[in-house]
Amino acid sequence: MWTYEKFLEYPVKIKKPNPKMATIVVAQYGGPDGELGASIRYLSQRFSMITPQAIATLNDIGTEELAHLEMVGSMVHQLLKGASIEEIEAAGASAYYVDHGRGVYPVSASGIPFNAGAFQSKGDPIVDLTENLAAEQKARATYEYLISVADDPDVIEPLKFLREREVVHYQRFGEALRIVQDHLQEPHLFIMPKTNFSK
Amino acid sequence: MAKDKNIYTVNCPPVDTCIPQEMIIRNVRLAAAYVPYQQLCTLLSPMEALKHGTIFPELYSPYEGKDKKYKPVSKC
Amino acid sequence: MLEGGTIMDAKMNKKELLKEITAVHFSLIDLHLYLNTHPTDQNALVSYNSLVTNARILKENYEKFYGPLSYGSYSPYPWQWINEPWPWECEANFKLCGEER
Repeated sequence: MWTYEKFLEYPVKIKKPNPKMATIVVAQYGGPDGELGASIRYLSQRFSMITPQAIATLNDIGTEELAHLEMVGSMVHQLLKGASIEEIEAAGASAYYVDHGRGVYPVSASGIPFNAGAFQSKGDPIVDLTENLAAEQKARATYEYLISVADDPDVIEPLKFLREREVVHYQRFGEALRIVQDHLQEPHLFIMPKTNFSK
Repeated sequence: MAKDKNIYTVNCPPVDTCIPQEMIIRNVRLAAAYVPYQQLCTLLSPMEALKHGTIFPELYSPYEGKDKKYKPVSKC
Repeated sequence: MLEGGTIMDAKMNKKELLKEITAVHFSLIDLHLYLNTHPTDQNALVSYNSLVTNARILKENYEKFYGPLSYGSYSPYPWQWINEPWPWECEANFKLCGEER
């Protein structure tokens, strides 16, 4: 079960509102390669995973992704808070404003609401871990695109942190995959059921 | 000859250097992916770790954005 | 009656403490993930446990003055958990580099 620590994993302190950035950063909140998808993906896959190391990895990285979701949500919130309607309109963020005001809602950068079709939980350990390696790369690349577009250091710093976490997660999933592969290749002892000859 | 000796020793890391990953993976199979295991060597201090985004220096991967000037992490 | 610099000092302390807690807690998380795939790495485990000790001391210190940081922590009267600002507000956060402005 979960508990909550009342501080962000990495501080988000954005002094200057920027509605344009808000509608782009939200991609990592509700977009196909974002943190919401990542957390539900890993937390769903853990039920059918094998080997203690891989199960723990899914459990704990899934949990960390929730903390990242919170960071991204904080960024969107701070980028919108204090922005005037004129600024929002000038930024081309009117569509988001009309649907959600200055609130935070999981959509992609193009305004498509979060869709579970963006991830899979196949119940097969090799499939799921391979999917996760891809997911971490997609998230890393998305953060790189975001960092390239942003120009406010208050926005760039947390994005860089989040990007680095994806690199680390990739390594952990890679190790989990090695452990699962080795486990599946080991010979395992099975006991044959005894045949009843009396029938 | 003295020069031959240099060829063999000059670019080798000292024997006691800690390498933070496995360098050789054995018994690899077809149709399987292999990421090398990381091995612990040094850890960053907590504040440095937070700034880098990881406590492991070997996993740090700097990115500054396309065409942006490189700014090292420790400069405040 | 509080002397001149005391209120400012208490507030600086809060952000400084939170900064330390954030840094130690994060290091703990990263080591935790490493241990999940390296359960027999003794050095890593030693480092992890010492970070745990560190984190507990820092948290206890913070919570003594500023109320609970997580479920399962004591609160004086009235219930402090609901205090603002919440972590997603600008005011609750700090800059990693340099002084608070």
